[in-house]
Amino acid sequence: MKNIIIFTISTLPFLLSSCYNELDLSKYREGSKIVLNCAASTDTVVMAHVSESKYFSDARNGFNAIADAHVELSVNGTYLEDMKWTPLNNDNSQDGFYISTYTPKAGDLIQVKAQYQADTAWAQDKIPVLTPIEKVETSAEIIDDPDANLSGGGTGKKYVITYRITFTDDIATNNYYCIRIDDGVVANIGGDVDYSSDPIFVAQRNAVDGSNGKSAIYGEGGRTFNDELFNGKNYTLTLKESGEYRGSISNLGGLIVRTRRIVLYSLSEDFYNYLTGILNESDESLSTILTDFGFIEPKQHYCNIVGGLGILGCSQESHYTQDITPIIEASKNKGH
Amino acid sequence: MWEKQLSTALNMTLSTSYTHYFSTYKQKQEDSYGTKGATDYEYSLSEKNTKNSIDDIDLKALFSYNKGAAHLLRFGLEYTWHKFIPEQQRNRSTHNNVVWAKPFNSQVNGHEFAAFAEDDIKICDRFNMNLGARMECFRVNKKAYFAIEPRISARLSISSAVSIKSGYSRMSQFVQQVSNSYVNLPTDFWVPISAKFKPLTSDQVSLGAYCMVKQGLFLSLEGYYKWMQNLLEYSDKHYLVRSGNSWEDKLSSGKGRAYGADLIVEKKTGKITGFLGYGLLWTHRKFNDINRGKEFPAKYDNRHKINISANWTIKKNVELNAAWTFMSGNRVTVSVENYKDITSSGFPTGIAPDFPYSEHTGLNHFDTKNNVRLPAYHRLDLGINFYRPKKGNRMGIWNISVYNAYSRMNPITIEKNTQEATMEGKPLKPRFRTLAIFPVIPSVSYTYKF
Repeated sequence: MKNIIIFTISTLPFLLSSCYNELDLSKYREGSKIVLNCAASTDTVVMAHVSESKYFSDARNGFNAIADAHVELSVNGTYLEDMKWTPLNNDNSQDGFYISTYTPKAGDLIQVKAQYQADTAWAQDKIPVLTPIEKVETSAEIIDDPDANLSGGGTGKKYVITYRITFTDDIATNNYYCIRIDDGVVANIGGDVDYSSDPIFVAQRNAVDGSNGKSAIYGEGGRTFNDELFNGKNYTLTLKESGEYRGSISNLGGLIVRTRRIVLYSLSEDFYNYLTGILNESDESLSTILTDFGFIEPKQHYCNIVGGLGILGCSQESHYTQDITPIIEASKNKGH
Repeated sequence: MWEKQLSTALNMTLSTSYTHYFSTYKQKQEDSYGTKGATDYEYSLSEKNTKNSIDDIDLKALFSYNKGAAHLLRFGLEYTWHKFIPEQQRNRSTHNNVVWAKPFNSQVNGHEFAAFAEDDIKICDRFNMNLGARMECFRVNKKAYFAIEPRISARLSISSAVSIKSGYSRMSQFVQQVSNSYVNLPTDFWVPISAKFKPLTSDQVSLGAYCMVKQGLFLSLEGYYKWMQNLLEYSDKHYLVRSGNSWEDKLSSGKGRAYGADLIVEKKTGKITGFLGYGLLWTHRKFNDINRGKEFPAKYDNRHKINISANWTIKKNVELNAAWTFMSGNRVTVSVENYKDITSSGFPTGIAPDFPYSEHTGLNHFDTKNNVRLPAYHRLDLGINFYRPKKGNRMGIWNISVYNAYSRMNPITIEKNTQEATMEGKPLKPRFRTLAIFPVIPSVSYTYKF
């Protein structure tokens, strides 16, 4: 018996040794690369942000902008101007943009070139044609929520707002979009936007993500989609927003801001490919979790920058703003 | 299986088999608004089904013809009917304006015919040869692919203790498994050759020397070089392929090469038997649509492999065995660099949407596929067998084993950890961590042979 106890105690450290161990991969450092992020739209002047890539363990403090790069803008193959470094006024992190004086037009071919030390990075992209929102219909209901936390004075109910956004796709071209609901400034509106009511987003979900038992499809910054399922048609996209309902419009809990801005971006193909990798890959999706744990091979993020990393993305946007207060009130009065 | 002796020299074996493999996923989304039956009641449904399956029926006739000591001829015929359904998608929706692509990948039937023969020829006392060939025809989607797989090996005995062996062989494969994970997932799928992808072929040459150092102790050294064509893997941009496109559009066809040398010392007699093996190996891949067309190391590019195995017969009915394995770690892709993304760069949301949950460490980047080698893999397995003879030539065997006896936590993946502080509040840097899941595992088994 004594031998068994000694054996058990001596082997316990092996049995309980940690599953995780830190690993130094600094020998695999690849060297920093110039990162050019640039957005161009018919709504404002062309802007660019220049920074450098970092080794993962050094990326804790973010990525400061490079203020002394040389950035130039060409439009439709002709050099136009050097873009001017403009620091952000209220920012202490030395962040800022290179800003041009040119506001693009639909169909413009935008080319931006950034030079920093010995590195040169450049890209070009075309401003897409705008697909406007034709109509937005909203309806709301207040329903019982079995998951509601009643201890904090909750009602055990949640509000659900359904947005039906109608637009017409141009049959002549492959079109790329991003849809988003925000409060006019930021995407974090308090409630959750669920995209699973629309077949376009159900079709996007891969088998791995579909096998985790969750039916909702999230995307707080918006979600991208293309026209392959409704090419050339008048289409109505259906999204749902839900959140905790606390009994009155003045106390809607998570429904902090009552203005909703529904934005439909018309994207260039490059910008669509780039944003898809960010916006459609929710932290909660099973494939993202498996990738973070290292079980699935990571994907190389889409990039159209030659000689560096980042994106030159062109877009146009159409938006519709609505106060959701009367919709919620009407739903409450209907006795749902 | 049915076996029959047709004559004193000719033996025939007929066999048949059926295998079925499938995985399926169904995602169904139903939404309703209002009360059923009311005028404002609305209902919507979206459904996506993904299916992947293989059915095989195999018929095989094998003949062996033994014409004295000089020839042993083996030949036969084989037919396999394959039914593939690789990543078939079917969608439906109540939404009127959605036009689903016509379901692709509906059943793909493959017919595989093969005729093969090989002959062991003893040319003289010191020189033996093995000649063989397999001729195959694979017919799929009204297109036929032919493959000839010759193989030849020769052994020259320089003395009673020393011999040299060399060989060449060609192999073909008509089905491949593709996966983008480091563990087996049900989403990994098997794909047949098609109009776009040709059969996987490999050619291998080898040369080796074999020596009996003394009675019961053998030494061998063998080198090889292997070329592979038409390997399939997911292309780098497979995730950008439109959902209505075929699985073929997500894959890339490429080449591979592997080479190396194996040294084996083997003790076959005495109370303690065993072997020591050492391999020095390289494996590379090259695809036009992966890693920007540049060659990269394969997942299993394990540079060094050592196997030591010993078997000690302590008593007539007690046997102790130990096996130690060591190999350089597998290759994995780790994004060691990060960079700022546009959604967190502060652009006005009118020209670039912001993402509220952007990682402060930015986007992942790596220059080369399979850029990082996992730490070395090694473990010691121990076992003891107790033989208990029973009546009527039957045998009972008790086995007590310890897998990974010194509990080496062999990493299987590398995680990028962004936890900002410990439980005690101590700040942490973003860091890489290995994940290992198999510590020491003891086991007991009993086998009854009758």
